[in-house]
Amino acid sequence: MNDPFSLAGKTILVTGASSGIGQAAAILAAQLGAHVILSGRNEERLRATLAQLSGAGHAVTPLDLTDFDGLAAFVKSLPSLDGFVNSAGANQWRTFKFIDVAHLRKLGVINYEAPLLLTNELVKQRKLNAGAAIVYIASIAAAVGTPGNAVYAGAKAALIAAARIAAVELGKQRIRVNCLSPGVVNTPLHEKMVEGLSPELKAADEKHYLLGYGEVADVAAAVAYLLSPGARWVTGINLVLDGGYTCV
Amino acid sequence: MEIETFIQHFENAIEGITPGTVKPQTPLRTLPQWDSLALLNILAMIDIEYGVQATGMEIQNSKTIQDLFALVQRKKG
Repeated sequence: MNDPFSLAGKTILVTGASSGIGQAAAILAAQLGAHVILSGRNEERLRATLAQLSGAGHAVTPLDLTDFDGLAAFVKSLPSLDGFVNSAGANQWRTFKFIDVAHLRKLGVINYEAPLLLTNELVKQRKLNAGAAIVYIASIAAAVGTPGNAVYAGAKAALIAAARIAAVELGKQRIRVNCLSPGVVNTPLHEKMVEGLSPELKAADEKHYLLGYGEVADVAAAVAYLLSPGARWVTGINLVLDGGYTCV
Repeated sequence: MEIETFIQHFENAIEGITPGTVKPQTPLRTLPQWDSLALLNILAMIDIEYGVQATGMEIQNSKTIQDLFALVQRKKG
């Protein structure tokens, strides 16, 4: 019997695999039978993730995604892929009063330019097998008005728009491209963002979520689905998972 | 690094503060404009004007403007 959610025999590249959503996605993918290539900047934390992967055939490939000159060589070293999950990202609060070029560049480079340039290399070097699936982790930030979040929201919105076009261009090769837009998920990135806010403020925000904040396992499950044969007919979408935040 | 200049940057960073009303001994929490947006703006101001990263926790643990100024001085080394 064919399991539509099995990733057996698939080779999946995950960026941002050293923590948070990327780590959880890598762990679940391995559990579902994939060979996972773990990428991130911190080799020690990548190895810690590796230690949690079940099965075999995984690899650790440290990479600074913002070092664009190194992307070609990095991609050259990869095997053919059945999946690419871009979970690397960063955020920092700046209201409009303080948005400057450095901030724009910093968030733009990691959240928008890096995934696009990595995709460019994967396509150029023909590393994506027919039927491969790309998942970009975006964010509901692109669709809601959170003070201090303008540049991050803009970068994620740009990524979602570009992903739609990647879906169209790569559709001929049956390569599927989808975005995932989580709401607030309990991750180290989020912890850093809200550190110093009062418990009352944090509780007030979480109240906006019908189902509370998300956990990395929630997002990993959605990543696994989009990578799986079960999602054969899904491309060009932006899957929102936010505990009901945007439906209120 | 001058505290007078720091106070100017501080007052400028937060909406609704009349320049000249904030003093070194002013407790942050007594400012009516001290809310979560103010916190974000102060974090950004410290990063941009002084080139150091403070955390929300460190800001919250500073009682007065003087404490905040001392924090930034310590971070600058």
